[in-house]
Amino acid sequence: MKKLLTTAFLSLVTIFGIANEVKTSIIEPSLKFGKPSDEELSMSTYAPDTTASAVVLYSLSNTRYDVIANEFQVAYDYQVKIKILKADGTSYANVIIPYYMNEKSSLVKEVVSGINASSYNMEKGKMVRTKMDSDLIFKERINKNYMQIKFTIPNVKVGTILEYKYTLTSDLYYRLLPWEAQKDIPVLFTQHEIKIPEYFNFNLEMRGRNHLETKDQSDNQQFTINYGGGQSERVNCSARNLTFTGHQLPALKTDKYIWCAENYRSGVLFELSGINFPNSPYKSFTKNWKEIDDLLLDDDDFGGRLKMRNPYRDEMPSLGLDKTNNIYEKIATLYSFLKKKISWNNDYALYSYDTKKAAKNGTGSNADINFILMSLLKDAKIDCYPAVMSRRSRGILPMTHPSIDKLNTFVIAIADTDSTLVYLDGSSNTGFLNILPPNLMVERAHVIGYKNGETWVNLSQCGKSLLRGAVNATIASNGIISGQRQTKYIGQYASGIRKEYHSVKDSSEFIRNLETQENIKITQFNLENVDLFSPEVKESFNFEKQATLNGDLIYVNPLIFLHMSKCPFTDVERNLPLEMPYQEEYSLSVILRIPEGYTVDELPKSTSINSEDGQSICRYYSAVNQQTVSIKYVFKQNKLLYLSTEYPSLKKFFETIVEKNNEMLVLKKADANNQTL
Amino acid sequence: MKSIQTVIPLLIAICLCSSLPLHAQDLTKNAYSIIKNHQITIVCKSKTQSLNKESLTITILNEKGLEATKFVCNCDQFNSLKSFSGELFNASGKRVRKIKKSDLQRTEYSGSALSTDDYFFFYECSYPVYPFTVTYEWETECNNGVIGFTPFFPQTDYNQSIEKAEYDLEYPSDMECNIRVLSPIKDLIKIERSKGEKGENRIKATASNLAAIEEEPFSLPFKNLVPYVYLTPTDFVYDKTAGCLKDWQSFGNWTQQLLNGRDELTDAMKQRVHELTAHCKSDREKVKAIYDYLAKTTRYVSIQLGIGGFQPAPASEVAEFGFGDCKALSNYTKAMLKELGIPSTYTVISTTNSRLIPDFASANQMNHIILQVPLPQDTLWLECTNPRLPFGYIHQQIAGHDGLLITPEGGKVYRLPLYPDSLNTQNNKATVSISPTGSATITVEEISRLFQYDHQSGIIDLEPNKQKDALREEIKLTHAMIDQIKIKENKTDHPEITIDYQIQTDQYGHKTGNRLFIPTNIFRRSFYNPSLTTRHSPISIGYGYHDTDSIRIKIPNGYSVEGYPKSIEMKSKFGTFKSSISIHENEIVATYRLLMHKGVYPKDDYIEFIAFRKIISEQYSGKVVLKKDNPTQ
Repeated sequence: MKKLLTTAFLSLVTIFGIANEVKTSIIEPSLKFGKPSDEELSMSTYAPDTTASAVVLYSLSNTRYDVIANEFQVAYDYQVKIKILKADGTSYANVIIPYYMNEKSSLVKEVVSGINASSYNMEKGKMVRTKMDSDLIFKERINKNYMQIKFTIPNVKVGTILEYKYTLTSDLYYRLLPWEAQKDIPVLFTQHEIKIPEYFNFNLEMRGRNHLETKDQSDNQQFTINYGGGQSERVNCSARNLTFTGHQLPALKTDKYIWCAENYRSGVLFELSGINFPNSPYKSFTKNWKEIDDLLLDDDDFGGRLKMRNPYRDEMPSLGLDKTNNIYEKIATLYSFLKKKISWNNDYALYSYDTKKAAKNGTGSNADINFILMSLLKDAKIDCYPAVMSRRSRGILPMTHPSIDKLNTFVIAIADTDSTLVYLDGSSNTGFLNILPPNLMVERAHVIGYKNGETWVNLSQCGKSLLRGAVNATIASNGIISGQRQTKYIGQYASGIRKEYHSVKDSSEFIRNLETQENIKITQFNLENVDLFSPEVKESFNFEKQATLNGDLIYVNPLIFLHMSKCPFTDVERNLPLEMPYQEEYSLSVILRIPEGYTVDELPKSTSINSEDGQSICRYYSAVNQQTVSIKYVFKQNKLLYLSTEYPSLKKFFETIVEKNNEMLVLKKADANNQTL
Repeated sequence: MKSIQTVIPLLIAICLCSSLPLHAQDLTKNAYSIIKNHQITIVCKSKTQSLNKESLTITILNEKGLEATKFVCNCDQFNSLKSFSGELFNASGKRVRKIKKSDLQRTEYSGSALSTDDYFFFYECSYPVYPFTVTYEWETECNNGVIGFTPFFPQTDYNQSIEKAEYDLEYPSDMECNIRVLSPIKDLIKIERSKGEKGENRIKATASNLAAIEEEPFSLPFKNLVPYVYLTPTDFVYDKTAGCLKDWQSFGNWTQQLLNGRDELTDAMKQRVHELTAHCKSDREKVKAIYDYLAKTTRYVSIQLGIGGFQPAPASEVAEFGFGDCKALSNYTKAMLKELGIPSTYTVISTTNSRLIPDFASANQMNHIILQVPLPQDTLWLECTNPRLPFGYIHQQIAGHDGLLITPEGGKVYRLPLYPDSLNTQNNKATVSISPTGSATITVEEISRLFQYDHQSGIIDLEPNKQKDALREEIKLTHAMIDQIKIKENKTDHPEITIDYQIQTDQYGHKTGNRLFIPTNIFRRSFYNPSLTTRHSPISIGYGYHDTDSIRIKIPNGYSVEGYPKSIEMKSKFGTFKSSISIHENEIVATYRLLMHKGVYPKDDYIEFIAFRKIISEQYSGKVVLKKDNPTQ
């Protein structure tokens, strides 16, 4: 006990020791523009992250409302100071500022001004400042709505401090730019100040794992309104003064198995909830989801599209929909019909601006296709609703408040006969009902207009993804395994094999790739339903494969077709959570007849491997019955989100599975005893 | 001029009629799309002004051919898009869509470059039912100098066949044009020269019935498999400068002229340069000191505006700002060396084409600048954009390539040295100690030289855990923990990197009951060996290397060897391979040696090539079977 205590004490000391050391070696940034401190200039490494190529010493922003020409404007003053610590950190001297500027109309725009940038270097014991000339500032158009400013600060090398500031003025006063506290390099100090006049109400959402201090104070503000003819009035109002501060934020780096790293970035998001101008009624923006529903339903490009006429109504009678009462058959007929009329243009959208044009041109976004499909479904008396969402790659919907800005697409929810909903999306060429592209399998989607049940639906578990394989084979004494494999691909597996099949030139290339991958020879290959709108794909083929011979011994992997031969997780550690695309189940049963005169010398043991939380499982069952070896293999992955702390055990789970996959069966000629090589 | 305008729509109309509905013909073989008709008409009015008119009719046979519908028009301050229109026809020939110029998307996005004066118009097309046909017609204008005419590339992608493609160039009677047809097979492109009514020159290039090409593994770049034509004016004007493309020498003269007066340094800089090299004993040391200074004080930033695509920023500007592109940084280094009395040569080179066409000069064959420093003992080739590279080492993207030396006497084509394949080495030395349960400790020393040094040296800049991840990824074990990494870099002109590390694993290889199946070489991946198909194009081995491994595996107590892979020795034109596995009292010794020769080999060697790779793969994935001396059940 005493010993334990001492150890505990010692480790405490160590922890404090380290903490102290870190604290003392971190500098206090100087917040004065143009005055880097000696400490900053001499700094050569950042103790909390010695691998950082650069560190943000401070990142400050000040946001305020002004009235210019009787219109509100938001001005953002940004100020950044960065210390370059390694050669690849010099890229932080290249700065990009995107801003809103429509190609055709400059009525509502954003303007970047007052760019002031310098680098500071120590030369012969003296600090030398190099100012950036304005001819190093370039503008370019990114798309119809956005331009960007690019500049690069001169004289930047390892050891340099660079500092810049600029102002972005925005006519889009009803929208506040999000504040990214965390960057892809460490941030020593960051502060965001914002003063919002009483006329505007914003919802705030704090994100990320790092603590940000918040100060929320009342203040006053004054604006001048010009009435023309030299007459003007001063208006006083109260204001909300918000300050967010962060210290020593670590770098945010994205990783594999992450849909959207932004979800984990520390910072603040703003969304307008209402405008309350004097002498005019309070104008609320999106107070609840019901109101968002109404806003969407009132919008011509959304609600209007829900009422559109079926553009193919003349062709409907020829589809023979009345020949069946089966709703799935009807949907399949309609979907297959529509897919020949319109193709997906690779865009996801929430609104459909020109559905008619999309139908006429035969190409459109998923929203275009979905609205048209809904008009077809309604004609066929099938109830359907839009389920609006934010795609997984675009980040989750705010939890604290409803937000129309964060919605970026929708799928169709169809009322099944038993009053449950099934889902479908126009972007998919390889799916079926409830087989959505994984990017759309969000945890929260909102079904608009649905009265018979819950309007918030979880699509992350919609549809089952199963692979069921059966192998029936014989191994000869020359080590040649010959047999047949039959496989059913359901859900995402069906979608997967369809995609693979469509990406190659023809079936012979598909077969050749399979031969290369499995190291087999294939004959009598058959694939069913690969081009159909159907829930599953069936595959069967005959194969031959060579096992390893060693005198009177034969070594063979009894699975023949390995589920997992290599571990997908090899990284030492993980900083972000790990997101799986969907739940899945993989099963394989093998029957292998062994040659006459041979016995089983070694057989992989039956076993069951469970993940630490018990949510995922891998079972391996083996048996010998006279001259037949049989294996039953099942893998179930049910969990979709793993915390970074769960990563080691997840990795271990998969490693154990891979090891089991690789276990060998050893066959021995019955009369051969003291075998030597 | 008028006659051309009327002829083109007529041609399209004829072509549409003949192509729809689609006739089964050879051109559909292996094709995802068919170019039915591509007409390019270039009217060069003077050295500074030309008008390009194009019309393209393309049939898309399936969704894999969709990429071919992409319209991209690259514009800059010299080139603008004057007009555009497009149409889409369904399988029965009915027009189902009209595409206007306003349907095009426009972007100035310049990627990682700080600034270019380029912008793009683009359009992507899709339609639900195949086949369908798209027609685009557009006009571009160039009015500030023609350094090269649009090349004629009838075939631009795999799985695309060409029914007809025509290229017409008209230029004034007092201008001359150089033309070069590059083609893997003769006579795929026909060239006719003629004179117009007013004495204007005409060149017509035609390609028809080109079959679709399929992409094959181990193949030369696409450009080497298809025919194309380069055309350049012999005398040109570009952004208010005049030059000549008669031969490389004259192109060099023009480039030299752009360099004139750009190598001035301020007095302070001159003094700096002398200070920096005051301690140096030889010219080589001085060059090294300057190269190190360049690395410490500059970084690469790309700015390409107008003539700035060919002319470096003045040396004084680089000194002031501390950045530049390949031209600016090379020219700056040249200026500093000049101050020291060390002559050097600005060298234009390509990082993608290893050869310049010896008797055909054009500006589009090169994309990079380096600096040649001829010293009495050896010649240095400085890559001024990447300070990480060791001094004196010639990196993989330029080694063995043709460079154009820009001298006061004009351009001279000169071939850079290439290291022999046998010197691009990587050697793994490992000792594996396996315990009776199958866990193991492995100590490894990996030494990589030259090009293989280049491939491995990136690990130095990674953070410790990422270094572990990078090494871990290459190890063929299910479970492995990397530790005790020690890296030693030897940055000479024959650079070398030594990585020492240790691997801990719970399971070395695989275990079933009383047996351990242990890999003999966990470092080398098996090669990708596609199933054999009829080979159409030559085999290309992009770079030659020499891999050697020696691995000692200690057999755990209580186990004996039951089986092990055969040793093999193989010699082929592609290289040599030798593996040897020998069993000693309590140790297995496995050695491997693979020398792969860079080269291009005839397609008939394909079966032999794959067989060679297969045997190596099998050896690399070989396993020794160990069995317990006293089996338990």
